Amino acid sequence: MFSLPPVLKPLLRKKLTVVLLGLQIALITMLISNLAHILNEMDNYYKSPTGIDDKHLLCFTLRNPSGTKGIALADGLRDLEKIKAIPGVVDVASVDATPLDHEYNLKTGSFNTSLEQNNEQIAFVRSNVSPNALDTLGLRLLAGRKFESSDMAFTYKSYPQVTIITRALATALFGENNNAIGKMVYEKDKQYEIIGVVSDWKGFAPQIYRFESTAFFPEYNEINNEFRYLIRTHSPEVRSVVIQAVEQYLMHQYPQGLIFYADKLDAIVNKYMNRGTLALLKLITLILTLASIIAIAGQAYFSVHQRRKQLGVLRALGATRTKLIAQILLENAAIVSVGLSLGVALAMLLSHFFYKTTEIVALSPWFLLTTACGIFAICLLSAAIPALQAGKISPSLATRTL
Amino acid sequence: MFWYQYQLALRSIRKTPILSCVMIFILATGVAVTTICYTHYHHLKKNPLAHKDEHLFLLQTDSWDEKTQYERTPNHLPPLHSYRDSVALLASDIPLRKTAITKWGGSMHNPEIQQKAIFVRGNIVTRDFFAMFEREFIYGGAWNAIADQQFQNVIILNEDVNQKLFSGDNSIGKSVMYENIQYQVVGVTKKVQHSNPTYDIAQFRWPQPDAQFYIPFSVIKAAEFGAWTRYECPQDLRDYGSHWYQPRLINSCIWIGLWYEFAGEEQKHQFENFVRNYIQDQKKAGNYPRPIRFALSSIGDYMQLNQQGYDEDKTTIYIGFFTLLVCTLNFVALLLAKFMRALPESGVRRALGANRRVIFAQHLIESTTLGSIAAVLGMLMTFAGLLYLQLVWKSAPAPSSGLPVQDNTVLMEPDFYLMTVCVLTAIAASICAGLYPAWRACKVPAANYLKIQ
Amino acid sequence: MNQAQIKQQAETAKTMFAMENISKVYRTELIETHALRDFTLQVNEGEFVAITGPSGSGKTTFLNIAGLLETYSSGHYFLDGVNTRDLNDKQLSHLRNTKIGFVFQGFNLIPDLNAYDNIEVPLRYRNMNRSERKDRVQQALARVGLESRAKHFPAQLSGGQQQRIAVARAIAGSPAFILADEPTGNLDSLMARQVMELLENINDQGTTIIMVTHDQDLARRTQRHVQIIDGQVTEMFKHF
Repeated sequence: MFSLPPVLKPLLRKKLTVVLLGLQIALITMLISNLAHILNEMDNYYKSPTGIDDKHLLCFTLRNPSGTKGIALADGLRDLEKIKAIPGVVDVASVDATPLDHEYNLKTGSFNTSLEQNNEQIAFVRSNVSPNALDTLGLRLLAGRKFESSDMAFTYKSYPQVTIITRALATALFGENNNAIGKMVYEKDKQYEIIGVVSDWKGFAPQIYRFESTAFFPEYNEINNEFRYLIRTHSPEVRSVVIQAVEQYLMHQYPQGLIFYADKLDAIVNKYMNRGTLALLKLITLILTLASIIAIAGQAYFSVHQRRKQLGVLRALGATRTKLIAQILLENAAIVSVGLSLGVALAMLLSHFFYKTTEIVALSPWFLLTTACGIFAICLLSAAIPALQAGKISPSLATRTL
Repeated sequence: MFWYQYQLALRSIRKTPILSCVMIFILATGVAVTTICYTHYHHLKKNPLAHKDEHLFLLQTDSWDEKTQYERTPNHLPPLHSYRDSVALLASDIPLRKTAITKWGGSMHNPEIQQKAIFVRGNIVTRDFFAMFEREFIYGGAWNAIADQQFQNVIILNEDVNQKLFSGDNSIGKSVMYENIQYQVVGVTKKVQHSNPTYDIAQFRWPQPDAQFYIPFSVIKAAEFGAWTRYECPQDLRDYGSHWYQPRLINSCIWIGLWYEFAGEEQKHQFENFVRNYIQDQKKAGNYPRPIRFALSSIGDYMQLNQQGYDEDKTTIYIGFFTLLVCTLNFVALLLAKFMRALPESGVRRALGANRRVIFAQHLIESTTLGSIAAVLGMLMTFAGLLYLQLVWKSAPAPSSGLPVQDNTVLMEPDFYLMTVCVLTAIAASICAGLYPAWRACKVPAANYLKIQ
Repeated sequence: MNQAQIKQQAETAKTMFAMENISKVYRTELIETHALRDFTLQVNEGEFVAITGPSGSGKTTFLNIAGLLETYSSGHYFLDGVNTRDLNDKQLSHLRNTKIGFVFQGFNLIPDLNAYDNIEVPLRYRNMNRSERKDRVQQALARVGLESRAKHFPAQLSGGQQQRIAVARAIAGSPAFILADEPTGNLDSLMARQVMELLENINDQGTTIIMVTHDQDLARRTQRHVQIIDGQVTEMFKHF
């Protein structure tokens, strides 16, 4: 179709060159597609919605040094009312951990679906909240009912009898389509009735690839001299004003208090991002891509350089510039295709290995195909420079003795 | 002979500058990526207290549920102890040194100056801690032995906190307010940034931030303090009361780590008997429902035990290895192209009396020379890469609590060992890569290339 | 062929190759070198012309211009009636491909292609269909007497055989003329004679041949002998 001299036949005589270059491309494909996949997954994760209304949320922690009386429940409840009256505030709730903040003050537990303790324990992150907290967060109630004031328990005085769980936890406990409402769950010697299931979210301790299994309990925390307020505002912009107003109020009430985690929740997302790993992977991907371009271009360059005379002869025999360029590109495309097909197989293998040892989901064929096409394009582009050079070879080279 | 061959090699490298540069760059990239990928693993596997492995031990006892074993450590022994057990196990006079470790956080300020309190996180330990874990002091030293028995309001700050509260001056004898209680500063420790969690080894594989202050263990009975550490409870249906703090002093929930230092094998043996007797004794009171099992592990032992955990961090090493493989293959391909082009010259040399071994050596020297240059470049690239990663790590936003976060830059620290690895890898790769092309070059029959093509 | 026949042929034959006042100037920053000066030469169909001259006389420049491998500074060059001035690369390549058959001193076979594929190369550039290519390659091989070596690679052939394959490659495309550059330069005397006989044979069958050589003995065997000195035609001999 191209009216060119045979491209594949001579390659078969240069097995070693083809094998070396093919293997390189195979390994490059395997590495780059997997690295790109991991980077892509991480990126998607950081960009994906948190499941809560983080753009309208603020979270404060007030710490009062021990020795002072601490924050009594009455004070806390009064503060909730006062803060709610601040202009710009829609709702305010008490929570015992900062959403999306994976480090601080995390409490975990595990549920059993029967008292016997024999069957599998399902782990979850626990959070004690005031009745309105789920609405404040922006979690949707999927089934059952919300907390009511009569559900409330008080730490070290009484235990909550009911719980609202996220869909992920409901699925883990009872399976995909089973109604969790009204069922009992057991934790050590305590039992709770599930009264509601709410939509999934990234949770208090965001983890890649998993919606967090969270169980909310209606309980006020009257311990440890800490009180945490979750505030929902009218608009994202008003938050900085609200922060100032709340700080002012709290500092007035508790002169010795310490306020921290006065974060806009969408800013927290930036903090749990694993920069180190991202940077390392990006650096390796970048270097590897650069190195492969140079490697492939280098080899194409020398395969052209070595055959200058030969290519000059082809020009003398009637090859136009375009045909010579096409021939070099075709040659490279042939080798790259061999390497790519092997590379795609290796990439699947490596991805499978990653999948087994880490939490990263396996490489999708579509993604692999896209990367393979990308690598094919990069390889051909790298070969284009030497190919263009080959086009410049003068046919008079044929009559010269080199 | 070697020098002559070396000069020939250099001449050959200079003759094809672009090709040589590409080869050097590619190989340098390969070793740099490999070294960078290996760096954090190398640091994680380093034991900064290896010289104390014969003497310093973590105590774990099986105080868990009757029915289920503890699952979160590789040897299925809880990493921590209850307060009740800790006090009893610390009471032994057998060990040379002993310490308990648990964590606490709160607000601290200097009462002499008007400034906003800072939020800090520190360790609750005994005075032996500093000698056991080789903490150096800038000012002062550990508190006296009495403070371990009878609580005194003494505190040791670390360099950073001393900087924030006292602008780095000698603060010995001065007071700080911590959680509304006044403490007297008796020492200021030098900041350390280990790449290994040392005394947290049973709970963490990655390094932890340096504690910002130290308060005597006796504070636990003197003040109500909320431990800032893993707090786990085995199943225990006994009633310990409903106060938020008091039950922690008598129940079976674990939150305190125990470390011992022994003068020798004999002492350790005696202590093992002591622990065995203690557990036996406790069984009468209904504690330790499981069969008697305990372990004294040095940091090195524990790392060995947790090998599987470290293996999870090897993923990047595989990436590094494959990158090196790609780059070496490329090096082989280019070397082969280069040597094949120089075949006529080799043919002439053969005709002039050079035997195969000489031709082989000449080519291998050439590839090794390229490898050595690549080693130097690779070293520079490794430095640059690690520096960049450290910068990225440092640029992460600090938590608004003001608490220190683990500075992972220690895991990206270039050191002599890594540079040696980098250089040796480059040279080894260049020799391996040179073998086949050199063999092809020396196999050329002398006669073939004497005729004009 | 007797003299009368040749004379008759010369009168009726059409001009295959005509150079009129061709000049080639190589310019560097400092000097201008006139490689060819007002070079004029005409070759008719069926002629066998030898071009000789000492080193640096402009032989190679003549060869390159004649083979359309280089452009010329002034003058006109008609190849089988086509004026080659101001042609673009594509047109030049096409002319080279269809009108000229090259035989090089160094054979210049593609080492990774066997004899058959080597001969086929110029035909492939011509968009010729497979069966015609096959016919032509077989015929060319037959004419050089190497049918049995079709599957051999250049490295497996002797110098003389390689050059014969090169001749086959040149004639396979039925060119207007064959341009031979020292065709026997790299061969020992026996093989050189074989190749020369082959060329004469081909010429007898009607193919025009222009041969550049420094070998006066070889030149004397041709019908016409042109000597270049300092870029100009200085002598013309006719060997009848």
